[in-house]
Amino acid sequence: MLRPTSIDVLRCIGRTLDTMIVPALNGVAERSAAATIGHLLRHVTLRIEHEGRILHDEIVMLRPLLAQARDYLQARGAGDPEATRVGASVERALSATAPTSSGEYRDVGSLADEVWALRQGVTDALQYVLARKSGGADATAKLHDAIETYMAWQLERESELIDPAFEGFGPRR
Amino acid sequence: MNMLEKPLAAYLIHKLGGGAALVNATRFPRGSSRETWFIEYRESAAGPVKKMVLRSDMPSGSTIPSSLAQEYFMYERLGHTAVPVARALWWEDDPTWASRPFFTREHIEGSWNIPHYHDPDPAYDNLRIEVSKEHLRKLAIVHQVDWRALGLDKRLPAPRNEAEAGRVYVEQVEEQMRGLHGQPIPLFVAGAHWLKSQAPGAPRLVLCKGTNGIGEEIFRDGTIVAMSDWEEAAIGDPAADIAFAQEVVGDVVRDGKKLWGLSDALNYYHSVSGIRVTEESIAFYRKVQSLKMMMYSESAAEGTHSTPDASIRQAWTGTEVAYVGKRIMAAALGISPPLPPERFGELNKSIG
Repeated sequence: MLRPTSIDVLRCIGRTLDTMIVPALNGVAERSAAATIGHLLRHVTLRIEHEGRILHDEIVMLRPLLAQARDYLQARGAGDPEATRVGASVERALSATAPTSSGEYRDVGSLADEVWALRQGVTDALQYVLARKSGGADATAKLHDAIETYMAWQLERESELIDPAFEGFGPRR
Repeated sequence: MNMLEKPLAAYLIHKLGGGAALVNATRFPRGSSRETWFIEYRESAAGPVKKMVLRSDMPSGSTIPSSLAQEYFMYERLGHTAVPVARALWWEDDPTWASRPFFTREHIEGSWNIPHYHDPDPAYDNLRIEVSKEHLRKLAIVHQVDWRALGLDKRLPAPRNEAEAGRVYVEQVEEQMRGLHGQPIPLFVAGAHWLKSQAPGAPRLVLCKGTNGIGEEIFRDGTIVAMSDWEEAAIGDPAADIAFAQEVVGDVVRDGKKLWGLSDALNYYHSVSGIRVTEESIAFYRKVQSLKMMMYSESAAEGTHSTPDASIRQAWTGTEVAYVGKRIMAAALGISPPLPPERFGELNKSIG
């Protein structure tokens, strides 16, 4: 790890922006842009610190969820062409993003690509489930509940990258 | 001004004649959807300083996925009505001059900012109520536009009848989202499905302005003299406009007594428009607003990703605004706690 760290440098940039640049700005457009830059600097700092872990955790959550969706769709597949089609999409999402060997380095972009592919599978499964959900406690409802649990979890993780960067820090623009 | 291939001063001479001269050009700082510039110029050395507004997409495209040409069309058409709008001047897409298309319109003296509107002093409670009434009067004028006679339905999608207004509105947002080819967002799919299952009909199909309220209209001496930013115009339920109105139909409460609120606003709107809008429809379209936030923030995210020329405002829209839209929708679906109202209010705050 290089010292100062990227986080150290970003905080230094933010402080310089606040203490040296912003006080010297007179135009509304310039001060408005500087305010937005300040918010986004805090956001980027949080992403450097946490995004890799959050994406890793999301993959860990999404794989069993998609496996559940695949099993559910396979069970409905016979005589239901739509279940077959969506099941194939879910299978593609799972196989196209097969985990690499545990010792291989994964950068954030690679993790994000995998999350996107897995989310596409979830989105396809969700569309299928929503069109068939009847309000009972059957397998369709269970998968729907599992997807809702995932969506709530994902939003909570996203909040870790947003709320501490923006909330209470003044005008955005 | 990177929408121009050559200096603005040269462009003014090209359009207005050899005596034209640039005096000043200032970018409007709040804009999140498109670029807006205020241009001061003279047509001759001895002539008075005149003003006009120049409007273009961002270098990375518009945050709102409707075309700039459609917005220009709206200004031109509305110039033939009683709606207060700046007169459309000209459209420019000559590649000799324009690196991307833009249009110009008259500049109307006034400000989006209303002094003391957010001042908590009770002395300004009446100002807040009067601004609300003024805004509702002007929305009523918009809603009484004969959109068929103006041919607005040739550019704006229109429901076939009042009964399908709510569902069609959600479908339009879904269509815009699909067109972005962005990241998959399960919450958007769940929200759109849920909204369509409870979509209300409209009391009347009207021209809706779309984004409206504080920050979008030009006020002078307490009167709206120009309604701006027509990029989200649609044919639909007037409830949509009242639901989307920024900071003009909220409660005014003093010493525990509500002086003004949504029911008062809807009664007043009925008195000036003859259209009865229900609180249920307002609640529906406020939830649609979060779906729209997800869609246009995804557009901003794609714009930011696609070009290094993206605006800082689009980077913000693609991050915090996207998250807030999702939080509001998740709360409506009952899978996440509600967002405190002040958290949403923070998004609309500007540098003083």
